[in-house]
Amino acid sequence: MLVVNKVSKFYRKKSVVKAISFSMNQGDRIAVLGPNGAGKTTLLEMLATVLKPDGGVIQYNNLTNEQEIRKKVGYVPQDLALFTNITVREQLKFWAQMSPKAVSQAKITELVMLVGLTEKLNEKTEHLSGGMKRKLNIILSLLHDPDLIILDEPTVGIDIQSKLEIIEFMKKICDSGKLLFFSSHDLQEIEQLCNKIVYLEEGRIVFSGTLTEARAAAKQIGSTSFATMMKYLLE
Amino acid sequence: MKQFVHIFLLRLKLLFADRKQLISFFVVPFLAFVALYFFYEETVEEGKIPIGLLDLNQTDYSARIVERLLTHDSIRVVLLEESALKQKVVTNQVDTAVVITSDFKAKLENDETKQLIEVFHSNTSLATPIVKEVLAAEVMRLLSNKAAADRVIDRIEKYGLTANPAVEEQNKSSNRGNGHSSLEEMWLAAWEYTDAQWEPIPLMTIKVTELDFYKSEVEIPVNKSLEPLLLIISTLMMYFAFSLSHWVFEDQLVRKRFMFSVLRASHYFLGNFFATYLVAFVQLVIFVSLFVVIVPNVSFVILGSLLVMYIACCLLIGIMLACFCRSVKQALVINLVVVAATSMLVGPQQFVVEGVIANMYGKDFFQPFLLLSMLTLLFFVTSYVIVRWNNARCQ
Repeated sequence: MLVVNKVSKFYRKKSVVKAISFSMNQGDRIAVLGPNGAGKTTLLEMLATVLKPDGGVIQYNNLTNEQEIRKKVGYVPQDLALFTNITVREQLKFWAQMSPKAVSQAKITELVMLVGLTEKLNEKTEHLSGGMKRKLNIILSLLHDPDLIILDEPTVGIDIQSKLEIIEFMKKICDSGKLLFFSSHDLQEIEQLCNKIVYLEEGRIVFSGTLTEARAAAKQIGSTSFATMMKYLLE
Repeated sequence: MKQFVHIFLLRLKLLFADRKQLISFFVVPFLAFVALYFFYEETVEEGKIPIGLLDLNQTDYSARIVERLLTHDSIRVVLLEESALKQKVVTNQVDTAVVITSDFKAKLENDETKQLIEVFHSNTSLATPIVKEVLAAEVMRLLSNKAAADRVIDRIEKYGLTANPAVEEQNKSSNRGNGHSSLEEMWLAAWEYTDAQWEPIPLMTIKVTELDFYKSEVEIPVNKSLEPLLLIISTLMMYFAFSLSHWVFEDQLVRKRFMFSVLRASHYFLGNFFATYLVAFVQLVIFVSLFVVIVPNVSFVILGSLLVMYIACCLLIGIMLACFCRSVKQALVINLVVVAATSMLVGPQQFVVEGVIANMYGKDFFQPFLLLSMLTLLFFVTSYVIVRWNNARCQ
């Protein structure tokens, strides 16, 4: 279980995340939504222990120590965190060696097959298509089989086919009861993958709940951007 | 330790994967040396005093003088026509002009030593005394050879001795008709024997002792063509070392992933540093080897030791600079500015130049080496702290 209690973050005295609180259970698949600058990436980075909160507490399975939490986190950053000049195989081998948990060859093979990178193992990373790079970027974060997966706009800038493949892959990964945080602007992806929504606006949570609850709350909540988004989601 | 090895091997892989960069790393030193070789040869030649020479005698005696001048270490001989001789002096195209008079040999044979050679110089000539010394030494050599050979023949004739009778008999029977009697051959042999005493070590040697005052108060008399050569080489090496440090910002995005790995910051820093150092070291060996070929009187060990430390120093400066760069273009500009500033104003290149030149003049190279080592150590600590700060900042 993940508990976020009054978590805040400041950048040069400007508050970007304002005393946010929520809790999620293992197996939940949460879409973190909101307009640009709402604080989505900051929140996800704090959940992933990449950033330290300036206030409040993040607790995962009763753990508060960031080093301990980090071992259980699979974080996929928004930008491609890849070495471009080596092959996919070399890349996988290196990150497996660097993993906090021992990574079996079977695990690597399984992940590679799931995202369809088997044929590309000997290709240099820089020669992969945008979609393939995104897939590689994701599986590198999942090598140690994390329980908490955090993806920051993992499908940005790629073709629809690759997007659908990534969504299918993430569904399979999360079937084993993993807790997923997923930020995206693509409402179709959110509907397919997530069962809960955390909607942020100006660093505050406007809405937190299931998709069904979100539909019901769309007209009651005063946020224009939330209402607009829900309108599209309902259609 | 395992992580150190993994990151070390990965960095090597990444460096070797970039073929263009790698080729430039190893090919540029060769190209630079081809260019510098000619530059160095030219400047060494230009460093000699230009002397105009006109041989009106054209005999074996004058030819010896010309030959000695042509091979002299500190002068460069320009053979002149009689009509252009004075003009070359007054226009400073040659420092001093030397004319071997037409009766040079005849006068020497008659033991006349006055005005054997004419010297022309202008009021701006600097090297006339040196030229006069050189000429006097060479003429003196000829005169002493002749005097010794004449003396030998004189003694033979005075005491009624014969030269080797077997040789004399053989000469008569072969009837060579070359005009050389056995006495003439004896004279020539005596000449050659006396002349040989000048080489390779003169009969007289001078003990030269350098006093401390000269060492501490006066600048070391630097070979002016060697200093820019060393400076260019060390500057080139600095630039290459800087470009090897681009991993600092190239890894910017990947570093977030490192947070979720077991890799320690110290292993990351050391692994990358030693991998880039290894590549730079190969380049260093090429540079040093070629340098020693061009300038043979430079010690391979001394130059190597200084450059081993210098490369480490440059890589560490490069790492610190790269922490403030966000792109290759930005890094290239910053690198160029720093390379230019350090070579023109003050930088670690000076220690290399000072160390090598001090060693060439028999002085202690240890002081510049020690200073360079201390600077490198300081940069090592500083760059590690900056890389850690930069990692935290990027995350």
